[in-house]
Amino acid sequence: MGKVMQAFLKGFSTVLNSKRIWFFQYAMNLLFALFIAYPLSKLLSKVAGNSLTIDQAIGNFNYTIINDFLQNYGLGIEAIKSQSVIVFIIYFCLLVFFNAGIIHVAQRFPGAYKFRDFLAGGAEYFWRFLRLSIYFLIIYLLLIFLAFKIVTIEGLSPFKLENELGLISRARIVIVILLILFFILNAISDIIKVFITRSRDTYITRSIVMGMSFFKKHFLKFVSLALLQLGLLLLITGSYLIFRKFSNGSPNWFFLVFLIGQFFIMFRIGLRIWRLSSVYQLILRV
Amino acid sequence: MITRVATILLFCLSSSCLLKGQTISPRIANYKIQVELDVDQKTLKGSQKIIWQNISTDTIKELRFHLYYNAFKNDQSTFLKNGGRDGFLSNSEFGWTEVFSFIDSDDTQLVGNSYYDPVDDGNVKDQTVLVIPLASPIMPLGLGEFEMEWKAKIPKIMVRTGYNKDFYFFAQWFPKLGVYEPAGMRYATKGQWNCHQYHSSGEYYSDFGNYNVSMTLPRNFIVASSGDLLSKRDEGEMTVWNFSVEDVIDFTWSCSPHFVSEQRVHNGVKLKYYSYPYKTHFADRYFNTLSFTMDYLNDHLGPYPYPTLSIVDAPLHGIFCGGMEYPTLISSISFCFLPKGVRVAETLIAHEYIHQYFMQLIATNETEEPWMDEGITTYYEGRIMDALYEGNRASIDVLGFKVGNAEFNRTEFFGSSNIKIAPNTRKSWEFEDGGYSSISYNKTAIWLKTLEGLLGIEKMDEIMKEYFLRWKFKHPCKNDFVDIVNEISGTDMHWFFDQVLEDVLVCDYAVDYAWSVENEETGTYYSSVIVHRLGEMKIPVEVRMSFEDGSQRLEEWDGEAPSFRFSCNENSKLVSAEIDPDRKIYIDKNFINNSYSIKKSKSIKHYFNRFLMNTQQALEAFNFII
Ligand SMILES: [Zn+2]
Repeated sequence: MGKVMQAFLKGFSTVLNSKRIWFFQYAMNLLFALFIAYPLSKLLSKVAGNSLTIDQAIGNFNYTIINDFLQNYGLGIEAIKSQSVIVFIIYFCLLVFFNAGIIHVAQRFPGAYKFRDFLAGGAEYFWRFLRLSIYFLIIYLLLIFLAFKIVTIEGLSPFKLENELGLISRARIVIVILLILFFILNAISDIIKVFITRSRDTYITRSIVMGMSFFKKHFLKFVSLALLQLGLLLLITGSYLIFRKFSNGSPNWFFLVFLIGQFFIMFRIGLRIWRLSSVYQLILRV
Repeated sequence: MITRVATILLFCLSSSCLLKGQTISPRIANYKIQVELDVDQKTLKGSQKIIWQNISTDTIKELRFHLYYNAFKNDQSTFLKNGGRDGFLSNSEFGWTEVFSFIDSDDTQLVGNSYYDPVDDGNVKDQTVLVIPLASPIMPLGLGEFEMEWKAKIPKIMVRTGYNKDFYFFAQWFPKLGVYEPAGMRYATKGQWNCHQYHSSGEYYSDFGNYNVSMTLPRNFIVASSGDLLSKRDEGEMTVWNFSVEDVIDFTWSCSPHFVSEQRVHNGVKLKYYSYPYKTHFADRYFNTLSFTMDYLNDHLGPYPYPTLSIVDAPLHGIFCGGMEYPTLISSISFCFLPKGVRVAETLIAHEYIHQYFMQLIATNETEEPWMDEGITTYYEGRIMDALYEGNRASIDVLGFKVGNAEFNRTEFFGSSNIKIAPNTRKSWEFEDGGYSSISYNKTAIWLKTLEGLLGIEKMDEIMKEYFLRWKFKHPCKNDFVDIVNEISGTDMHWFFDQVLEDVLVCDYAVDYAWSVENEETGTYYSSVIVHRLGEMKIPVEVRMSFEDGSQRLEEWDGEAPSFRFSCNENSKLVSAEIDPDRKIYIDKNFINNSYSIKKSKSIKHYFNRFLMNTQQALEAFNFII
């Protein structure tokens, strides 16, 4: 457990040591979000900026106004929707690039690094990381498909089902199992990422096999580390959600809501750096 | 008019003759049915005595019966072909009814001369209307007594009726008489049978009468039924259940060996709830909603006149019988996997109970005028559910997502693919390209709420009370409803009905622009508001101008011209203008353009903040999978 804690804390030192990388990723997140949020609020301002309904709908979910907006000004939304798909795809690739850069830089810790090392690392391992991400994405989708098949093993036709109780209890069990599997796969994928950066192989198969057997060998340690990270994420997310609920609808809280929202997203990005670096640190220690 | 008065006179006379005393309904079509259920063969064997009262001055030479089960006889029936359901049932799952004996009071067998008449579309494969010519006509104000023997194959449930596994729901299950409309009744210019084929939309139109029904079925089965249980006795492996109900337009029952039941009494009405063991926890939700709905309609329309009401909560494999309304028996749908805040069960039970008034007590013709049945019911569903769950949360209230009932219906209508698909007056089977529910249910509810806005809720309640009082146990049509609105409101509202009922117009009023200029000499402000009529519908509207000092000015506009300008000189600067500020015109398709604030809303930055943060979180969510 000592090694896990050490790795966890070292990971945090890496985060503090990578402020530029951290801020750069936050800036990119903000920039990409702006590509969606700005046209959306521009459209809202144009079609409803002078309407009194816009004030009535703030702070609580207003089904009538949302639907009137979508039904009467939906064309504008359609254009933003297709733009959003592109933004999300590019950001996905960017995240792959960032993760590669983070692990590359984490390996230099506690020595000095240059920002260009982060970019160089991202570039060097991008395609391999992308392949890994796609493989895992496929695995996740297959698991979801399998889970759906198990839940609906008796079919979905109300004509054939005796009642919905079987469906409900199977769904409950399968969702729990699925969450555990996703958690474990996420932990394995982080280890594989480190192995990829330590290998000169163009193919990632060997890194995948090595990463998996490494995880199996040190199962408890890596699971403990991942649990620590998950606990922290849940704690901060919970606090943030409580704050949002509390501040919901109060126009006077605008700057505070904005500020805390930005702190929260920075925390999430920082946690990603923390997660990857502490996995690297744990690999070094076991 | 003379014919109508004569009809009413005859109607009263005949009722008292037939039933020896004051009755609440005319008791025209009366049935005593004995039916045997064969659960292995999935068949019903029935014999029924029919007493039919001719309330007209016409001599009746034939009787017309609905054989509803023949809609499931082959996939070329009008029901299956036009309902887009051909291929749904396999050969063993089809259903049918065959009448093999029909004897009059002179012991004459009449079935030999009977024939099917596809009155609506001429489809010879459709056998849902049986005509039986009479050997001895029924004389004016005369009584006809007949004995009928029939057999039916129960269809597998696909809609409203049938069996699945060991759950049975018997709706439209016995040969039922159509309605004979004497000249002057509804749209009849001469005496005629109104007995349409069974279509996939719209099913009700029948006469009031008394029912006494005995069902013989296996001993382990429990029966939920219209009316009250008179007796129950075992006969070998079978049990005979005998139910009776008076002054209703139909009789429905359901059975299953798994039924568990619970009874409560509300306002002297015995409420009998039948469900499956795994979903009995819905009982309180049903009873609570029902009690509120019953009280509401009792106060706003009049009393529910029957001693019982059965509620069937169908199991999952029987859900296609759920959400149905029959006299003194209603069915619902509930799903255990839905959160409590999704109020499907509550909405349905309220809706189906309201049908006890609109279709059962005020026995309109759903086949020809579905809006008078489903539309008025949906209007009351909105009023009742939104009163029960205040704050726009009657339909959904889950994790901050709140949706009210009336607003849900409004959105359903405006969200439909073509809001001009058909006028409200279209017959139910003529909605061939869709739109039946969005027009008959949703649009009607919206324009009734608009009528309520125009006349005021007190006047609306007065109208509906009078409509109930005057037309309960009768068959009103559109004109009767419009006449009462005009009479009670003291205004000719034809201009309104012409637009919302007969036409397919869109209503959209908007404030286009507003401004205010200071007159430096006088220190007053010259303010103007430009309003537009963007839709074709013309309704008088109010325009409210709000000023900086908090004062307001309410203007009226007849809503006729495509646009109009209001101007005024006031001591204060105009801040905003709003058309229809009290949302009386609920049929307006866009509430966003109903107001104009001279200064842009400060809320935009909050929305921007929200959009931005949510997008940021969503982008970072990829982190969980890569
Ligand atoms: Zn209905």
